[in-house]
Amino acid sequence: MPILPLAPGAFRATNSARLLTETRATMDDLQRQLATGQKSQTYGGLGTLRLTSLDFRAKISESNAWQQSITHAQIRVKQYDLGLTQISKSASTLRSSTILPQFEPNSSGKTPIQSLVRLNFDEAIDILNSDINGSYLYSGRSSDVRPVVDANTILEGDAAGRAGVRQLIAERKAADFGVAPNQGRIVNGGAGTTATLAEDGTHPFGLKIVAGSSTTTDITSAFAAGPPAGISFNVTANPAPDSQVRVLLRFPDNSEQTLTLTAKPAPLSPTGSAGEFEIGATPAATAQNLRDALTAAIDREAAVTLPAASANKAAQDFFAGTATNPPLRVVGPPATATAQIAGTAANTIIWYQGDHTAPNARNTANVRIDQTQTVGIGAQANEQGIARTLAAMAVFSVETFTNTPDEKGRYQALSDRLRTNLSTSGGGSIQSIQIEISLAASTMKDASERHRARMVQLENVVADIENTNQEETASKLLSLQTKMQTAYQTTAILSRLNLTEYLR
Amino acid sequence: MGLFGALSSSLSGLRVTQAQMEIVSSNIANVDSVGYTRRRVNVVQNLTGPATSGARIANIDRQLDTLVLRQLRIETAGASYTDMRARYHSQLDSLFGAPGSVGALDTNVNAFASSLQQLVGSPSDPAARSQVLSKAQSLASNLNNLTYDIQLMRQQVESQIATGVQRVNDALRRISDADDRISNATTLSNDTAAMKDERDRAINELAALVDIRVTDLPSGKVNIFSTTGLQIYAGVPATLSFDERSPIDANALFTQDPATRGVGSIYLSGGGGAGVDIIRSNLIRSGELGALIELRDKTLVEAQSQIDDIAANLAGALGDRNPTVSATNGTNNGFDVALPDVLAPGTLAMKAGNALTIEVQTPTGPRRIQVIATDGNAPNPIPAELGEANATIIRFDRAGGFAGLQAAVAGALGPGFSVTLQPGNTLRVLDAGGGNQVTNVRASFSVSGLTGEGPELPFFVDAANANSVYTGSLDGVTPERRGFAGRIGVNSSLVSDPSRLVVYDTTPGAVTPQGDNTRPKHLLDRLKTQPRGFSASSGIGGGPTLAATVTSFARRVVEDRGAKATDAINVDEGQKTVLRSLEARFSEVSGVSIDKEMSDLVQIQTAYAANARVVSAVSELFETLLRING
Repeated sequence: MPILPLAPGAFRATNSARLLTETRATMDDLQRQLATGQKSQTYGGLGTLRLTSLDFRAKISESNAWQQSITHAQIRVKQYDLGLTQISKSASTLRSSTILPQFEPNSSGKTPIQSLVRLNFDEAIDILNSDINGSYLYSGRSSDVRPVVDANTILEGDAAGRAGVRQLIAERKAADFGVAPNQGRIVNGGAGTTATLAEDGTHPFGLKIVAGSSTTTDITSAFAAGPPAGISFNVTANPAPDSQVRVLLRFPDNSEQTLTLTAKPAPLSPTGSAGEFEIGATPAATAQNLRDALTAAIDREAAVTLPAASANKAAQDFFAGTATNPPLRVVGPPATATAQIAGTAANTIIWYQGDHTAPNARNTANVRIDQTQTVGIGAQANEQGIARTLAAMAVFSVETFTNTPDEKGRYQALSDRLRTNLSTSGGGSIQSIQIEISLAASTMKDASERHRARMVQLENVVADIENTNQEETASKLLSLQTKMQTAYQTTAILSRLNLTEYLR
Repeated sequence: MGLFGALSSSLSGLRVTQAQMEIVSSNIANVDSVGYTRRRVNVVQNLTGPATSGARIANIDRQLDTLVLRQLRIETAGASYTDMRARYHSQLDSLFGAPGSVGALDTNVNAFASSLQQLVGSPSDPAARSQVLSKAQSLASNLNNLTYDIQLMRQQVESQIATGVQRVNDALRRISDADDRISNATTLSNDTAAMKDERDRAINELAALVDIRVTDLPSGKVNIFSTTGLQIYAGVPATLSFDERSPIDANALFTQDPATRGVGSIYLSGGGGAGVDIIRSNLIRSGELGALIELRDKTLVEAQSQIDDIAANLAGALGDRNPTVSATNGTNNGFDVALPDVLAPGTLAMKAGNALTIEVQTPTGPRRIQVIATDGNAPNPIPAELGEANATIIRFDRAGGFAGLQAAVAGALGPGFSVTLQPGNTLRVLDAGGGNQVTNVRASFSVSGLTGEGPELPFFVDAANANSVYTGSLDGVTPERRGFAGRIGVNSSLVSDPSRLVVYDTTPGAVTPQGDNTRPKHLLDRLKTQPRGFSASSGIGGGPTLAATVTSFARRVVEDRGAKATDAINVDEGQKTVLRSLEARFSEVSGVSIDKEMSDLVQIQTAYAANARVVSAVSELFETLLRING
C-alpha cells in the first residue's frame, strides 16, 4: 500500500475502502493458497521456518540423487548377475561333461563337447563386452574401452600377424616337446648298470624331474637338483620282482605325475608291458631294460600328458596377459628354445583391453550411496575366475584330436586339467565375484530404503512448512467471506446514513 | 435605534449568512480534496460605539491540530521510508524464486550438487556428464540473472532518486510561492487559509520524501530543516541537484570521492549550505529518498555481495588446489608448504589473489598472517576488509618469486620464527623457540588447466572476461570478486569436452580412465563438505567471516533475504498503523463532515430566512408609514 497524500475530509471513506481492499487482498491470497496448496510464493513468506525448509529441501534433493545413483547401479548389478550366472552355468556344464569324457572326435578332430564349448566361449566374450549406455561393464575404470577383443581373434590371432591362443599353444607344445629322441626335453642316458634321465638344459620348457626313488636297495638312485635336474639309477644287483623305480615329473602347468616302473621277471607280457621292466640276466641287462622302459615312459608322457599340460599352460599365460604385462612367448625356434620373452602388442593379441591397474576390481566402479557409504560394483573381464574359465574354454576350442589311444589319453589329461580350472568356487572365482556384487547390491537396497524413509519424513516436514492445510484455508476463506459480506453491507448502509439523504 | 438600524442589522445578518454559506459550500466541495482543512466562519457582533449594530465576520478559521500535524509529518517520512524498503525487499526476496520452484536459487544449487552425485555413480555415462554441465550452466545463469535483476533494481532506484529530487524541488518552490503570498496577505489582513493549506500540502509532500523539521516564524513564514540539521528552506527555496548515472552495474558504487563513484549524489545549491554533498554527508536518513539511498548503496549492494560470494566460492571450491602442507617436527616445529606450480615447476603456484595463511602462537598471544599475492596492481596496502578477518594482511608481489615470498613471510612473522626455502621450493615455517609456535598453515592456489593439476579444475570461470580463471585477484580496477556472479560461467573448454569432468590426468601411461570417479567425488566433497570463508560484506553470520560450505551458504543467503523481507514488511505495517491513527486524529479535527455541514446549512438557511423576514417586515413597516403620510 503506497502512502497517499492525506485528504482529511475523505479519510473515513478512504480508510474503510482501504480496509476493505486489504481484506480483499488477504482473501485473494487465501484463494491462491487454496489453488496452489502453497503458503507463500517466496521464502520470505514462509516465516521463521524458512531455513528449515531450505535445509530440508537440500537434503531431499541429496537423498533423491543417492536414490537415483542406486537405481542406476542396480541396473548394472542386474546385468552382472545375468552375465556372470550365464558364464558360470556354461562352465559347470563343461565341467560335468569332463568327468566322464566321451571321446568321439569328428572328421575335423573335435568332440561334440568341444563344439559346444566354442559356442559358450563366444557367448562369454559377448557377455564380457556388454555395456549400459555405452559404458562397458567389465572394463574396470576404463569403461569407454571395449574390454575384450572378439572371440575369433583371441583364438586365431589376426591378419596383422599377431598370435592368438592357437599359435601360443602350438609354440609352447613344440618348446615343451623338444627334439626326438629327447622328447619332453629329457635326455635318456646311462651305460652299464646305470640308467639316467636329465633335463636337457636350464629353461622353463618340457618335463621337469622333481625327485626319484627306488623301493629296493638293489637299485640306488641319485637325484641332482640342478638345474638342470637329473636322476640316475644304478642297478647294483638284480632286484626282486615287483620292486619299483619311481620318478616324479612336473609338467609345465605345475601338475605332477609319478612314473612308476615295476621290475618283472622275464618274459613280459607283450601287451600291457607299460610301466614294467624285465629283470635281466645280469644287473647290466636289467639296467638296459630299465633304460628302455624309462625312455618309453618319458616318450609316452611327452606324447600324452605333456601336450595337454603345454596347451593348458599356454592358454593360462595368454589369458593372464595385459597391456603392461603381455603373455610370455617362446624365444627362437620352439623345439630348441631355452627362454621366454614377454610378447608385444605388435606380435601378440592382448585379449583384455580394459583397466588392469586397480588393486581391487570391485572398486573400479564405486557408487556413493550415502554421504559416507560407498560400495564397489566394478568388474574386470581379466579377473582370475573369469580368465581361468576363458582359458579352459579356449584350450578346448582350439585343440583337435585323432582317434588313437594316445590321443584319447591326451583328451583325458586335458579334461582333467579343465575340470580343475573350471572350478567355480574358491577365491577369485566367478562365484566369489557374484557374491561380492550381490553383497554390494544388498547394501544398496538397505540404503535405498533408508533414503526412501528419510525422504518421506523430510518431505512431510517441508510440506508442513510450505503447504497450507486445505481445510484450514477453506474455513479461513469462509469466515473471511462472511466478514467481508457483513463489511460490504454495513459500508453500504453507512454510506446512505447521511444527512443529505434526509434533507428535502 | 430605529427601522434603519434593524434594516442594517438584518442586512449584515444576510451578509454573514451568505459568507457562511460560501464556506459551507467550499467545505462540501472540498470534502475529498487533498490537504484541505475544514474552515469555520467566526461571527461576532458589530459594534457601533458601545452598541451592537448587526453582525460581522471576524475571521475564517482553519480547523487544525498543529501538534498532530507535526507528528504526522514525521510519521509520513517514516512510513514512506518503510514502504519503499518493504517494496524493494519483497521484490528482492521474490528474485530468489518460489520455494522449490525451478527458478529458485537453492533448487539450482541442489540440482547441480545432485548431478555431481549422479556422476560419482556413473562417471562414464555421457548423459550424467551433460547433466552436470547443464545444471552448472543453469546455476551460473541463475546467478547472472540475479545480478542483472539486482543491478536493474539499483538503476531503477537511481532514476527514482532523480524523480524524488525533482519532486523535492517542486515542493520547495510551491512552499516558497505560498509563503510569499501568506506574508503579503498577512500584511493586508487577507484570508490566508487557502494559502496555508497549499503550503502545508507541499510541506507534507516534502515530508514524504525527506525527513524534515518545520519551524513557524512570527512573520507567518516557515523554516525547513532536515532532521539532520541541514536547512533546506529559509524564505528562498534551496535547489537540490542529482547527477544521475547510467548504466549502473555491480562495480558502480557510492564512494566518498565523486571522481570514483559510479552512482549519483544529491547536491544542495542555493540556501545556506550550497554545494553540500548530501549523500556523502549522510544528511537524508528517512523518507522516500532516505529509503532509496539506503537501497541503492546498502541493501542491494549487500545482496549483490552475497551472490558474488556464492559465485566466488563456487569457483574456488572446485578450482582451488590446497598444496601439500606437512608438519615437520624436530627441535623446532612447524610446517612445509610446496610452492611450485604443478604445470610449471619453476614458477610459483600462487596466482594473483591467492592467499597463504599462517597462524602462530606467540608469548603475547595468537597472530594470523595472510599473504595475498598480486601482479603489482593491487592496492598498497591491501585494505583489511579484502582479506581474512583478524589477520595481518601482507601484500606480496608475485614478481618476487619464491625468494620474495619467503622474505615476505619471514618479515611478517619476525624474529620468533624461522622461514626458509627448502630444496624443491618448499617453504618451511618453523618456530625459533622462546614460546613461539606455528599452529597452522593454509594455502589455496587456483588451478588453471583442466588436466594435470589434480582433481580440481577451473569449472566455473569469468565468462565475461574471455573465460579467464577466477583467482579472486585484487589487481583490477575493482576486486575480481565484485560482480562476479554476473560474469560467472561454465568453462567453455569443459563444455566442449565433457570427458574432462572425469579425466584429470592425460600423462601417457597414467591417463585417468573414463570410469574413474575420483574427480567427481572430489568436486562433490568440495561443494558439500569443505567449509569456506565468506566475506563480511555479505552481512551473514554475525561475525567477520563465516565458515560454511558453498551449498549451505547459498541457503543462508536465500534465508537471509527472506528474513529481511519479512522484517521490512513487518516494520512497514507497524509504521503504517501509526500513520493511520495519526491521520485519523488529524482528520477528526480537520476533516469536513458532510453531516455537520448539512446541519450548519439548515441553520444558515433558517438564519437567512429570518433575516430576510426582518427585512421584509421593515419594508412593510415603511410602506405602512408611507401610506399614512400619503
